Amino acid sequence: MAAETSPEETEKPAKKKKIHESAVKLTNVTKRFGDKLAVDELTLNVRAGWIYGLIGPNGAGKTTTFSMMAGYLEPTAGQVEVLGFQARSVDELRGRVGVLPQDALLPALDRVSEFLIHMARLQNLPTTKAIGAARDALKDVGGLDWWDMRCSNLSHGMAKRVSLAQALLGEPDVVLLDEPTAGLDPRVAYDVRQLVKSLKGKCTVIISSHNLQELEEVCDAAAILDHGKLITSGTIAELTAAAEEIHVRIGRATKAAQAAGAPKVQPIPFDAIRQIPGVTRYEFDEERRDLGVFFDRKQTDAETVIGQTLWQLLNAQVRISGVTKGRGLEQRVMDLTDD
Amino acid sequence: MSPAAEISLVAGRELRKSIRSVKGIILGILTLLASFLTVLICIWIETGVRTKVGEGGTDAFRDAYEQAMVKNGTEAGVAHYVAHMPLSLILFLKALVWIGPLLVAVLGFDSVSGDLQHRSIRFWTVRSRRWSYLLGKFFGLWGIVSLVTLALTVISSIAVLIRGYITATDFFTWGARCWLISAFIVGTWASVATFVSSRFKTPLLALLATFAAFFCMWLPGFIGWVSRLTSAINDTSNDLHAQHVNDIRWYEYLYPNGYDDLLLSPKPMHVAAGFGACAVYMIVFVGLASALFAKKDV
Repeated sequence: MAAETSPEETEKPAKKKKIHESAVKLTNVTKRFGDKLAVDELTLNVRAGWIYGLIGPNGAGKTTTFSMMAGYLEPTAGQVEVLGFQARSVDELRGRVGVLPQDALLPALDRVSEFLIHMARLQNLPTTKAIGAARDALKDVGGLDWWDMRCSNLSHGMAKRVSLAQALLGEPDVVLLDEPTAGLDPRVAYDVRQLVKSLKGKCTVIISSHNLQELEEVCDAAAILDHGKLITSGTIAELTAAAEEIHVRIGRATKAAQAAGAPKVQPIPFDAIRQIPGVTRYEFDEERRDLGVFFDRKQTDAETVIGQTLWQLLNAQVRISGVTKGRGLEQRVMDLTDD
Repeated sequence: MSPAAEISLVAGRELRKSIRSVKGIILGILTLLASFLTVLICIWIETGVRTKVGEGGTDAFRDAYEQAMVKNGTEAGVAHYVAHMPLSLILFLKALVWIGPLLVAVLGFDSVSGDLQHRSIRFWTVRSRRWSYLLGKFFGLWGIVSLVTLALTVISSIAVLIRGYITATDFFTWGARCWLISAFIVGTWASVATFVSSRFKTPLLALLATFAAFFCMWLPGFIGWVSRLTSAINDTSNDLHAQHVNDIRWYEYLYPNGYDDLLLSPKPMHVAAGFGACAVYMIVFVGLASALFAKKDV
């Protein structure tokens, strides 16, 4: 299976860097653990500058794929290239790839500063620059106060952010993040998301995560995996069909209206909606009270369809609970993956 | 970045970590106490030997010791050399080569396996060649145990210097030589410990496997020692030490602590064989560990 997509909107890089057109490329990659097939002939191409999501249920092969990109795991077959080099070419990729591993513990005895400076020194930064890079990275994750703390004294959230800081040391070209907000409180998770968003255009970011809302919010594109195979990939807009359908959640009539004999849900003017220019069909899920309106993207756009559909619904005195463009990544993943 | 720079960074961190870890500090104190006791025992043994020979003064004792060896069939040159070894220091060296592997096992079992267990290794593998990382760990372990043996050698040398069993010159020559010998032998044990540690993700298993590996290395040496002892009992004129260095069996090279006799020998060929054996040990085990680690999934 092959997948190559392009972002609809490409932001201008914040700074000029010599970056490879294809930041990460997997070609027919297979990984077996004994008899278990974890990744099955996966082909992916992540373009430089994207924020790219790896999506899938447990056991889909996300972390295995991520680990092969980071060079932790050797593929059983196929090729993994990062910035045009083999994923394990440490010398060529030194300082150009930052990785946040999901479950790696920080060395307990080290102070945060020692750990980060040591990592920066291994990226070939001289001591003075290494100290500066360590401070900058820690500042980026909001942890400058922990400079002298021992890693063993950090809370889970703090440790996660220090790990994130080491991934961002020296402004790498490719940043690989495995579950960057897992276990973080909502406030810190929000800060981390903002930080990831701020990387857009500066470097390529690949995020493996279960949090689909988060991925939908921050990613340009994503790949959906299941049972080690690529199910589909594309820009978030493509994946959610945001340019081809809208969904309106219909509200119930008020209790007073129901008491006066009104139906629970006002009749929906399906014919009027079908007449909206560009609309090809509609679906109504009575149980979920979800009205899906599908349209031809060449004739119209989502915003126009939303406006006209709402107009028709309001004219028919239908109460509206919410409106979304596309199906939502979560629904899309549910549709595409087993269980 | 050169591999040498990577190795020195990893080794330097390993040294700092060992020095300030609770495990390292407790082990250091216990080792110092045990070694102090060993020094006292060595001095007590030397005092006993001197009394037996009937000479209290150092020079007179050496002359008597040399004559006794020549009388037992040892070559005159070798007898002169051996007689001028500070007996307490040599005895202490014998004790030190036993302490060395214990320290290596206890300080080194989790050097790599600990990083593998907690996956901290993942922070390093994206920045350092795997073989550099492993060599850094090896040199770090070798370095810290060698530092401990240096401290112990200095302490023991000062003790026998105060006692009057060695001169100031002996302190700098034999003291330094004893430390170098112990350090080289420690290097062989450290290479095996690093190899074993890199093969396990559970430090406890790595510790057990390290002791098992060390036992397997000790066994051929023990067999050689028993065989030699039997032959010495049957032939009372036989000099056990001379027989060892002149007729070392191939399998005895598997036991690094047996190299001390080679390294203490006055004959350059023996010393070269001892250093060569240490070097081969280190190259084989660190090389093997690096080759396997390069392919390992972390």
